[in-house]
Amino acid sequence: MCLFLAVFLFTAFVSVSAHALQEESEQESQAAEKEVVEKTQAEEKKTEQTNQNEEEVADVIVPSPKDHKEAMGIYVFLTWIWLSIGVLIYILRLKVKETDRIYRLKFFSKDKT
Amino acid sequence: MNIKDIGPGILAWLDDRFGLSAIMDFLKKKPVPQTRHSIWFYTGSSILLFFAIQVITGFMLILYYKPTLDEANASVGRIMTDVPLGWIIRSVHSWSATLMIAIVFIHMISIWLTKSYRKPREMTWVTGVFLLGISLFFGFTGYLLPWDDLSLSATKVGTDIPRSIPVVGAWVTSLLRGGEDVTGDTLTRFFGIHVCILPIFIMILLAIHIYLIQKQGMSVPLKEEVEKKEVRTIPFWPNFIYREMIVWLVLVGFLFTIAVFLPPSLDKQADLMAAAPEGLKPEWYFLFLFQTLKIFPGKILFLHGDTVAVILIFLGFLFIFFLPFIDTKPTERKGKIITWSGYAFVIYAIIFSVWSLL
Repeated sequence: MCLFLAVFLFTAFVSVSAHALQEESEQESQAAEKEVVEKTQAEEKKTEQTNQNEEEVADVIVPSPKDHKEAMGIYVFLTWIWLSIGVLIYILRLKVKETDRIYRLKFFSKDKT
Repeated sequence: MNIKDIGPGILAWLDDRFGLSAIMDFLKKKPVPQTRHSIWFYTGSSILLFFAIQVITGFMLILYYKPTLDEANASVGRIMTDVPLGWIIRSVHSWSATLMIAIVFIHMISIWLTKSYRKPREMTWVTGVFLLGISLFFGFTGYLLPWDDLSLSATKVGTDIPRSIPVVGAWVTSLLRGGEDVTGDTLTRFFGIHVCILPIFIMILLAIHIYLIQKQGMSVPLKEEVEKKEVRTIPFWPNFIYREMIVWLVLVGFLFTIAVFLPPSLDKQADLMAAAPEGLKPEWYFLFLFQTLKIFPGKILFLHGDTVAVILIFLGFLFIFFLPFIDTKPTERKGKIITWSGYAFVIYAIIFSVWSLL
């Protein structure tokens, strides 16, 4: 009887343990599975969000030179503009001085006194 | 010196037909006072310079722009991406508008503070105020043309303001919008106003304004006029023109530089059903008015707050419009108060604009 009881208890213990182990492993595998699903979902969400952001960025047109050649051309043009402005201002300053001097001398005036 | 001596051939041919020598003789004799306030004289021609740049770039843009609900935004996008140097043309057009309005304000304030509007230049001031109004309306109508979210919402807010005007308010809003709401009809209407109606008005008013300036001459500062001091003058042609050319060159250089480095972007196509974006702001030159409207409470006694604000703004505009007729004694106490009111206006506009941005 005792032996029977011991065998029963042992069997019960083994089966309970086995069941517990099985449950544990099931839980573990479920958790792992869940983790994988969550990870995949998060990745999908992230990708979706990135795509959405990219779409939004694509919606806003930020103007800039089309290529390196155009960018270079623009900077050359700007440099040329400022150099020309510098030269022209120098010439104009000379012209201002000259015309003011002629005006002070009343060179074109009928009354030169 | 006769104009025929400057360049033979074409100039002589033109002179025979249009009498250019008479115009040149007039300009050579036209005196420009040289005082510490003379720096403000350069603002007038700078406005003309930016206006001319806008006309030229506007002609270029109109070749590609399509003023319809479906294509407006896309056509501006094409100008910025497909058309060679299109983004720079658009940027120059936009920045020259901004600079023109900024200099129009400076020009107006300088005339207010130096009292250059006094007799006999009252009508020059009046045409100038009309030109300011047209310049602002140019900016307002041009802002909608890219047809993106921000421009649509700003136009909705802007065209809703006249609704607060008693009696005619709803009609004015409907007239501006071409219906109850801002739609494709508003876009077509604004385009028509921007490229056809306003240019006609501005050309007529500019012609009158410039004619009056030539007829009355440039004003001498009040102090010199009262003390009857002799003011040193230089001829308009070529002495003053050479000086103006220096200013123009610097401004053109500055314009191209900011147009290249700070071009305006284009948002996605406007959605008529979408809610207004957060932090909606009008163009910088409307900020102080926008903030003024915002600070008024919903109800003041038995009137709507907006109605009171619009009436006050309208009264302020009337005060500016009739300034030369109000400031009849510029050297006396009333004249000094009006000068200080000019400073007060500048401080108010700056503080309210900055407040609106915070």
